[in-house]
Amino acid sequence: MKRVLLVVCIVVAGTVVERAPSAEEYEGVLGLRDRLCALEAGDPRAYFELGEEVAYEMPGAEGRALAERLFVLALERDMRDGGRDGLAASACIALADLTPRESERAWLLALAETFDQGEGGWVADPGGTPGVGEERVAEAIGLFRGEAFRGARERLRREDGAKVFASLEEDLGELGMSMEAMESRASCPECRNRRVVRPGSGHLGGREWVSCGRCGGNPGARLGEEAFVGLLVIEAELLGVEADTWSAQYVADGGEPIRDVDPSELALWYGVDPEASMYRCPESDDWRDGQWVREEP
Amino acid sequence: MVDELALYSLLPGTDTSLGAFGLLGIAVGDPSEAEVHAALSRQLARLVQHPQGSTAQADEVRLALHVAAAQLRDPRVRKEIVALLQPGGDGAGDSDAALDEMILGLIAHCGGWNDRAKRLVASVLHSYGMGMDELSRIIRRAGRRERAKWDGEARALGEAHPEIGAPAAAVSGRGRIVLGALSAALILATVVLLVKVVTIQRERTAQAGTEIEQVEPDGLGAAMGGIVPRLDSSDSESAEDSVSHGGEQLIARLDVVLRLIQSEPTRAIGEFQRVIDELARTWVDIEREHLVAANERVIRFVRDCSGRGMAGEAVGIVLGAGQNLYAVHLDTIRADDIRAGVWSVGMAYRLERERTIPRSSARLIDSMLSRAVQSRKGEPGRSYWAGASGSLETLAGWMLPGRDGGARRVDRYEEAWEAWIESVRAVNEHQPTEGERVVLHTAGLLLLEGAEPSQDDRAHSVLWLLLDGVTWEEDRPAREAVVAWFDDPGISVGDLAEVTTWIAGRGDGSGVGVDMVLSATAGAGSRQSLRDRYADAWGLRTRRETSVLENRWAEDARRVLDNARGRLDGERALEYAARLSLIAQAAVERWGGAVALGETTLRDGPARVQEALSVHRTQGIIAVDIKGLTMPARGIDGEWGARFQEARRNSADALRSLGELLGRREPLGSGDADVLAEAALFATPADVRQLAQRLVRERAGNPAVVYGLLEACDQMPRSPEIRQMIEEVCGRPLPGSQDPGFRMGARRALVARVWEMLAAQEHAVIDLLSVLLGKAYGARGEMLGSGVQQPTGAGDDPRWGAAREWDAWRGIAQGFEGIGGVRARIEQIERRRAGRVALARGAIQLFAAEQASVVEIMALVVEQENASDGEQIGAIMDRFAGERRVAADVFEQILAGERAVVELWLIRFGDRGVAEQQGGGA
Repeated sequence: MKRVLLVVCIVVAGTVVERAPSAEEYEGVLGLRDRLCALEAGDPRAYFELGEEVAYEMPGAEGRALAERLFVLALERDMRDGGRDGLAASACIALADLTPRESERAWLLALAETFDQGEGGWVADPGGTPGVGEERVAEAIGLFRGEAFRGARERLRREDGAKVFASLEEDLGELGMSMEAMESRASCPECRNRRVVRPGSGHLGGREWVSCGRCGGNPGARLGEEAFVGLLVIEAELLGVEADTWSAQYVADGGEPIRDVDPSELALWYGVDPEASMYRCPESDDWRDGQWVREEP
Repeated sequence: MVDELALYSLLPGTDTSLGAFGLLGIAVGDPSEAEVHAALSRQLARLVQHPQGSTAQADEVRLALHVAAAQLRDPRVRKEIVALLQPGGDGAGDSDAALDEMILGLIAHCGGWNDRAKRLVASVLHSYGMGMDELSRIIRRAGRRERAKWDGEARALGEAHPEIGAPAAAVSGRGRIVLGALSAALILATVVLLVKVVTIQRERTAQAGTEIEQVEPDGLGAAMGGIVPRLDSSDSESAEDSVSHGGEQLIARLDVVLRLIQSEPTRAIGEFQRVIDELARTWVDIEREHLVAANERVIRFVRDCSGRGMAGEAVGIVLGAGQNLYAVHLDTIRADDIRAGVWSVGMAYRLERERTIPRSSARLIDSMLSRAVQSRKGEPGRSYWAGASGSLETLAGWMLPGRDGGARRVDRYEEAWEAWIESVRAVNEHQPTEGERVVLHTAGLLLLEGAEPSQDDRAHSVLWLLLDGVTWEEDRPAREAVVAWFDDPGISVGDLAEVTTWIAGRGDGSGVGVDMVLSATAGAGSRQSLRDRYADAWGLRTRRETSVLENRWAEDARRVLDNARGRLDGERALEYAARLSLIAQAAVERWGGAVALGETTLRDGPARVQEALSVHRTQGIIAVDIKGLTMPARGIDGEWGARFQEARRNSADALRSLGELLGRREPLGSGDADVLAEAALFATPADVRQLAQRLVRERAGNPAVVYGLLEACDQMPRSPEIRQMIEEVCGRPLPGSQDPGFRMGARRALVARVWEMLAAQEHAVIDLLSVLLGKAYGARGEMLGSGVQQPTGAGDDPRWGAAREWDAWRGIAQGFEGIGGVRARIEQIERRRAGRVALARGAIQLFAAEQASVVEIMALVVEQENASDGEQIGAIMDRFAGERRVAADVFEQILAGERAVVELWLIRFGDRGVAEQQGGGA
């Protein structure tokens, strides 16, 4: 019985525990090491094509880093050849596909525009207009500010609003707007956002209505200056609003500098030495053991 | 006969008792030809310098001087005059006899009664204060003397030869009859000869400096059957001179006309027309003195016509000579009309100061001069020459190829310009530099505004005609004009290439070598260098005179660049960027020749920046406590709102409650502002709502009010009145009130407006400095020639200002596209520009993106203009790129851009000192 259990355990273990793959099967790109070793500075297309394979087959961080290097080197080599292979714009687009950061993506796409693409050149996507989801969240922000929490919750619970809210939840949360905060009540508990209440028995003057004692006639989420402006800016971004004045833009982005669309910045940005385009083959089968070196003069 | 008073006034010291000698101011004796000529020149020069040297009296004196010179040049006449002037000269009889003998001797000397004889006789008689009617008396006296002489001789003969005498005596009866018949026949023959000559003369219709007067013929005159020529002034030098002959004839005809107007005005007008037609066509060929005399007679005729109510006709004739050229709807300029047109305008100019002409004529004159002389502005001493000169300038402007927008075509182009040049030369004879000034002005105009001589054949031939029309000697204005053309940025290197080709090709030994020809693609440095070589060769200043503006501009530029060194960010960086931007604006204005404007910009720039820095709040926006917008209302805030809530069920009470706010100046708190906003959106009836909307508009500068509208946006009614109110409050257009996107559009507009208002509370300085930048870029773009039209409502938006300047530099760069590699570089810059604009987020980054492209395209232009400064320019661009890369914020990037612009301007102006100091890598 014990033997049977042991066999069963071994069989089960064998089916559960993955066998450690070989180096080549792990890479996802057949012959990656050899292909890296075979790269020549005079053939930027080889860099580019290998980069595409790596990007597709190796989606992890390691693969992305390698693909980025290969695309950068393809661009650098092509530029030195006077754009003979026309790879510069394609390399920028490929890099844009890899990056998770929207600002970096925009920069890479703008960089792609600067290269002469001849016929059938690629045209940058001007960006979409605010969708329903963005509008819902923008409305919700407005309602939140005015302490109309119920209305805000309703908008954020709708499918399109929920999706957008999810992507901004962290940012909005830092500014005080969260579902938890809005769950506590619907509106000003005293006047229900009507601003006025009937005077109590001790109120003098015979008035029918008096300002709400809790909100003073100004129901609101009691936001500090930073939170108020922050929410306003997010609302503006959601709605696709562009400020006409420089002061408003400065409040929104703190005077963020503009990146120049200079191809020479690409290598710098990715930390790639454009001169180190030769891959020195490692003795082992593992491509990670190789080194990127400069061409010997 | 010269008015002696005028003579003494014009030539003080003249001793008329010495006749011709006294007029010329030389000693009685036997002067040589050269001495006579020198004396004449001296006296004529005195007249020129006299303030009344252009008057009719002065002309009379001039003629008398010429007559006197003619007399003294002729030895026989001179001798007779000397004899007359000798002391102990006989009385009238002797003087008569001497005079008669002189006159007859003159006639015989001239080979009979011909033109020359007429002139000389006239001059002699004139110098004696006699007219030509004296001639008939002289002939009668001569006849008597001859008869007496014959009688005497016959008697002597008879006495000597009594046998003849007997026959003489014997024939005294019959002989006397025969002799008398013979004498009569001789006299008759002389008379017939005289008549024949006069007839010929009448056909020619001209004498130098004469009037032809119809006098009452006396016996001899009647026998002569017609006009006895009366000469009351004499001519100039040579009778064989056809030029003076034409002028003399015209003067003579005008004298006839002046007489005719007294008795036969209609006939006079007709003759006047014919004379004017000829005078207007031929004035350039007439000697100056004759032209002056003729023109003055024209003026006199007009005056005389004024007394007869015919001045309008006379003026019309004078103006009519130029009507083909100065008609209101003229579309073709003809060569044949140019001379007449210029003469007509010159006369109109002169006539304008006549007080006797009727108002209608004055209006005609004014109308013509408005078209024909564009530079007249009440200058004193209007003369024919000034008018002629002014009309030549105007004509040139019409005729220059490439100017005038094709409004007029020029028929027989080269002939037209030759006619123009002839007219200019005629003006130049009167005022030696005036004609040259007109030619040089025209040449400058062609270079600045006309077609390119290097590309247009007509422009080329006109330019060469003009250059050939001036004197290139030392101390003449042409040389200075050429150096000034080098300094004028409006004149292209292509134009200067044409000019220098012509000058160098003259080979006149003025120091200009054949290698001093500017290349059509030369840069500013080469241009400056050749300019200095020309100035050296011609002994003019060799260093470009640096104006006060240039000095001050360079100083200011250096100082601000120094102050802006190092890392500056935020508002400080923007402050220096604004300062440098205004300095660059002054540079553009200076480059464009708007010196006064550049001085103002430079002078006022620091104050404008300082003013922006001292403002703490944007005008029209009330500062609010942002926290208060969502916090409970405090103090009196909310009390009005509560009263209104109570009152709103009754419209009268609601209106009264709203009325409280009309007189209230203090800003509303957020609680009351919300109530007001809600009333503006939702209150009923309409009059309550409308009053609330009015109050909202009045208080649109209060961010709490605008925020109140935003808070209520969710349920905002869809109505045109609310749409209009929101548009006015936000300054942005909205979708239609029934459009499904109306509420979202209102939300966007209100969010933007609240955002801007709150930001302006803290950062008004940024907005004001950005406006300065926007204005500077817009002004620069316009001055550099941008064709971009700013959209309505763009105001001083810096984005549009930068786009205008980009457009302007792009246009300038286009001129270099023919040079190898430049086109590709421009395309690359354009692609980078597109990429930057696509990448930019927000107004500031958009401006920074455009600005970077402006710097790049400007650097390309400056490099093409100054090829030798390529390294400097490269260093500037490297530093610019480096500073942008490491900048902490966008304002630091903008400052880097303005630094680069000013440094490039320093190079463009040839000031490399600062550029070198600032040079180096990033």
